[in-house]
Amino acid sequence: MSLLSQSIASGILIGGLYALMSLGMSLNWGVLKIINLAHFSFILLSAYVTYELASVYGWDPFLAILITVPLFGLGGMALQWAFERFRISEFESLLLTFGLFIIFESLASTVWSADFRRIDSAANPYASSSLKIGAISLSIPTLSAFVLAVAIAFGTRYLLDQTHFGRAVRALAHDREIAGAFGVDHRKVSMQLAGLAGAYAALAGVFIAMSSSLFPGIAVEWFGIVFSVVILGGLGSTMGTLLAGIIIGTVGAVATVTWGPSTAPLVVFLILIATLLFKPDGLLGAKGGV
Amino acid sequence: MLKVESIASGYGSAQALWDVSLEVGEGEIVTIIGPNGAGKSTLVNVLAGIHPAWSGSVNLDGVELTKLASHEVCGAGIAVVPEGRQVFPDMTVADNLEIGGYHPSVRQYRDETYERVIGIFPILADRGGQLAGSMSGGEQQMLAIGRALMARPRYLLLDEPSLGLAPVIVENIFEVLRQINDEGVSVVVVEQNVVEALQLASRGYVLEQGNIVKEASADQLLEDPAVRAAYLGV
Ligand SMILES: Nc1ncnc2c1ncn2[C@@H]1O[C@H](COP(=O)(O)OP(=O)(O)O)[C@@H](O)[C@H]1O
Ligand SMILES: [Mg+2]
Repeated sequence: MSLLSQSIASGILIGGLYALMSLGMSLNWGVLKIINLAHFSFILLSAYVTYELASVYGWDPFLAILITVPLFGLGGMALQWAFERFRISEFESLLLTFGLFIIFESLASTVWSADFRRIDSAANPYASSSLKIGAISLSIPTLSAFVLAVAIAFGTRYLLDQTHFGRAVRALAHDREIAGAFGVDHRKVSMQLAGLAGAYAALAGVFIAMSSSLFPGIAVEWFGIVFSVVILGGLGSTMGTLLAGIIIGTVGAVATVTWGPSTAPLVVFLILIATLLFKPDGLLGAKGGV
Repeated sequence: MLKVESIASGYGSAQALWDVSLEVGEGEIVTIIGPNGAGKSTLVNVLAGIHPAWSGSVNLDGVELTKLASHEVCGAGIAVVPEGRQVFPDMTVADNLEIGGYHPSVRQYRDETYERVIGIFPILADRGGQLAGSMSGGEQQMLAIGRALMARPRYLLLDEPSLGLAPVIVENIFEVLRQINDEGVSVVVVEQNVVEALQLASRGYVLEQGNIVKEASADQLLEDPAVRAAYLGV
């Protein structure tokens, strides 16, 4: 029983991290019609940069945010600029960013080798620290990622609902031409949104570096989880992504303790397939809306 | 003065406008009539910056609109009520109006413009929180006009505003256009509802197969045998 409640608690927390990894993907796809596999590379590289800053330069891993967020925010903007410049379609974006994904993965292998890398426990006191509530223990990096993911989901919702920028994003998601006729500069707004998505990827990377070992191939393992969360949540849906992250995290964790670790990806993919078949707009997705 | 000279435009290799020239003076109501597929929507979209012109010029009080980026055109003083209304269905009525007033050049007047718009269409204030897609066709048309007015245009373009609406609502809408015009906004209205349009407008153009084939005062067009035969069925 305590094993189950522990795994549910950890599952919910890791679900926050999943949501953080997926939110930018979902916005890019739902609003900008770009399926950006380089998003996974941004998460991976942000994790490695965090590792580098902590292990080599002795930074507190949390402070890595100061570097990775602007870096990958700009990276997201630069990519979107290129997508606009060359009028990349949704399908082309998948192929193109798959190429980028491979390039970034070999870049990571070249710089950090194919070996496992983990921030020394001396440089990363958070990895082994946890908050104990009764019999349940919550790891600090995942707990922080969860809190941040919830804050970011609500913050993003607020931004989309209540600001000029957010209204422009929603108008753009529905009809770029009519939005343009009222002064929405789709190039500028999409670059800003892609920058935001890149920043979210950077944040996810920092928390991954704090809680797990890194190797270049790890990014491939995120595909199933992130695509499941994005589809289950509904393209472009912030609250849907948060909810879906928590569901996938919990289900995966429960499957792991009930049927063994190898069944978790199976269950996650089953959810993905079931969503596509029975609820293709996702839990909270509106067709064409954000 | 909105001065359109020798506009050509189309889609891919299919040309839809050949050599279209027309003028709309300050404070005028002008209508453009023509059969389905004549190029009326293409023309409106070129004027609004939604669709690119292949060649020719659209000049609004000395500003060459064809040279502006599409999101800059509304800042020059032109706003569009597109065919089929095209409100943002998943956004609230209030947010649709906010988008109308999005352009930086008009944002500072937002509250004042909003008061004016809900003075014309009080229903838009009552339904502020409702999703635009859940409103009736007539209400969506009012929203589309309200959204365009939020951009504080000097020239308002309307593409078949009567499309699919009950006659009593059409009458309402045309009455509103008259009122908006009285407040100093020039109006360009594309219509298949030819009688109503010619009664509203002072002048009209007939567009056929991408060419202006006739220009005359609205009264003359109403009397014109060819127009009556083609568009009034008499
Ligand atoms: N998006 C489009 N792609 C290709 N052809 C189009 C498109 N829109 C309109 N056309 C063609 O351009 C011509 C003019 O269409 P349109 O401007 O919509 O006419 P109208 O509004 O007078 O009915 C028609 O022959 C139409 O088939
Ligand atoms: Mg038309």
